[in-house]
Amino acid sequence: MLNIIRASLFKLFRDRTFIVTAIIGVVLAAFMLGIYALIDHFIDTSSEGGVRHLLLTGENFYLSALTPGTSFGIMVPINLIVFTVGEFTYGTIRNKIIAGLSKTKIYFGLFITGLVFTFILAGGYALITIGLGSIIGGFHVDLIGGVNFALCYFAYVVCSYILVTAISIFFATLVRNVGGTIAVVIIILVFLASIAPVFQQLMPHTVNPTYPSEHWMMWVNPLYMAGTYGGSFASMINLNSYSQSPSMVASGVTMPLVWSIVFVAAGLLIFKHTDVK
Amino acid sequence: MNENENVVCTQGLAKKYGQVFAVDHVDMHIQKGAVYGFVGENGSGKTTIIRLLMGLALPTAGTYDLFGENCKSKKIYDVRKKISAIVEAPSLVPSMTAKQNLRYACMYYGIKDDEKLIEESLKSVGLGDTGKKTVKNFSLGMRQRLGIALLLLNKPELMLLDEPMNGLDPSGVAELRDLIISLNKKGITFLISSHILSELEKVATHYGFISHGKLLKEISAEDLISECQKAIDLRYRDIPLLEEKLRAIGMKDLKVTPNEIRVFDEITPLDLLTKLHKQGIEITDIRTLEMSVEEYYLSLIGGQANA
Repeated sequence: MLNIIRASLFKLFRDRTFIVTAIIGVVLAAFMLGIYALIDHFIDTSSEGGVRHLLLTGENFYLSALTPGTSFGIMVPINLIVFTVGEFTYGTIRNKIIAGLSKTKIYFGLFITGLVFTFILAGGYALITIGLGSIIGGFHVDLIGGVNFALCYFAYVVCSYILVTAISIFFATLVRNVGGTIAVVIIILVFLASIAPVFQQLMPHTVNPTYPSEHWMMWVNPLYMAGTYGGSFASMINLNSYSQSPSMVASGVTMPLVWSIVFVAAGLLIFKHTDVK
Repeated sequence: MNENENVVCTQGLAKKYGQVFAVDHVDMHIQKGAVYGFVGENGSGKTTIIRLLMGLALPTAGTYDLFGENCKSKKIYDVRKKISAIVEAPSLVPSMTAKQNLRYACMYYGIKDDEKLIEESLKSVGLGDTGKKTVKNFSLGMRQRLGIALLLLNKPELMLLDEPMNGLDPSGVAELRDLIISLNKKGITFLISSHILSELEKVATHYGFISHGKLLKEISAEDLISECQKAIDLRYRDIPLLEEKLRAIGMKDLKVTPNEIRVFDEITPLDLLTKLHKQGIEITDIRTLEMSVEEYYLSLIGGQANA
């Protein structure tokens, strides 16, 4: 297994797509910071109370940018799909099977390499957003949700990206075509990440007044929690009233992981029972 | 494993796509140390069988053993480490150099201290000086050579080559042929599918003829030579007497011309000469007419008219 991961990472770091993506990520992060700074400069956001600080800190830049469904969140699955489908089209998966590696090991190797890939990109992106954001507004200026909130949200994002990796590799293995897979995965991810605030508005009767974001959908939609707060960050909503119940925290962490296991298991099952060209 | 044991043995192996059998219950045997020439038209099932043996495709029915290990056994993964294969075309990463491709393969093979091995492998296929040129800029022949270098990395005992001569220039074909012969002498067993039958004839010790997914015949090269013998032409000063003696020793399928008699019956030239000698006939001019492997294959699939 270690040999497969080592080999995949060796290939990954020589993949032009990965390098280009990393550069685009840096440019995108800087561009986003610029846009936020412009909004802050030209629009009077002080009336929202605290929004100004919420926007222009390194921490908030980072958190708002990471949510699945944002430009960064879309960039990750696209690259995972290009990498995974490339394994099939270049025949490197075929070579690994011929070399006597089991399909189980190969699939897990793909998944773990995908995770490493995702978190390397996220790490690089974090450095840029936190770095530039901190230069503009300091790293942590009056974070309204508190440190616990930030840590919980970070956990939701990490678990969400494990799911993004699982979904991307599942569909790349199933469809084995870059264009088709990207379309399917992006639609699913954007839908899951953006549907949370919509549900809260469409079905307010299900909202708990103590915990405004609590909703039964959080036990169905694995990106509900990350999507809820990510959407709030991105749309500059004051998070003062967004306290979290223990069940919200539990669902934010467990649901993406449960769905990740489902997608990895389903992907492995399909991979084991289909031919490789 | 003894010399005569099979390294590949299939039993009723079948692969169905939709309603069509790409491989139709094939019983195939490759002896250890053989160079097994796999002959068949496009779409006859050669590549599918190789893909089945390498675990790339799952059989619809039947089973196979590799080095005595059944395909359903968990040990089959270890057995496959003794096998290398090129299926259709070498699988290479186009954005990497030749050396990087081999290093990548060494990693998933679990080969350590790979630098010397990589250099040797590249030199052995004439790609020692490709430097930083990436594979996407390689010619078809260079890719084929790199594919062969990749095969040699894990020191295989069995090599499955699907159309290995594709894209090679005449000197490349000759080099590959020499490489196959030298590796075979070292004990490596080969399965080679090729359309270049004239080249296959130079290396094959055994043949398997396949058409429409069915294995028509397996035969050793020695037996093939005798089966390819189409007729024997005999010249003699007294043609009527020769005809009389030939009929006397049981030859029935004869074509008599004023200068010679062509014998179509199944008999080796040596047996025929011996029998005629016993009849008091001393033949001084004898020729055998032989079919090529291609003609033999066409005769097997019922295409004699085209041969």
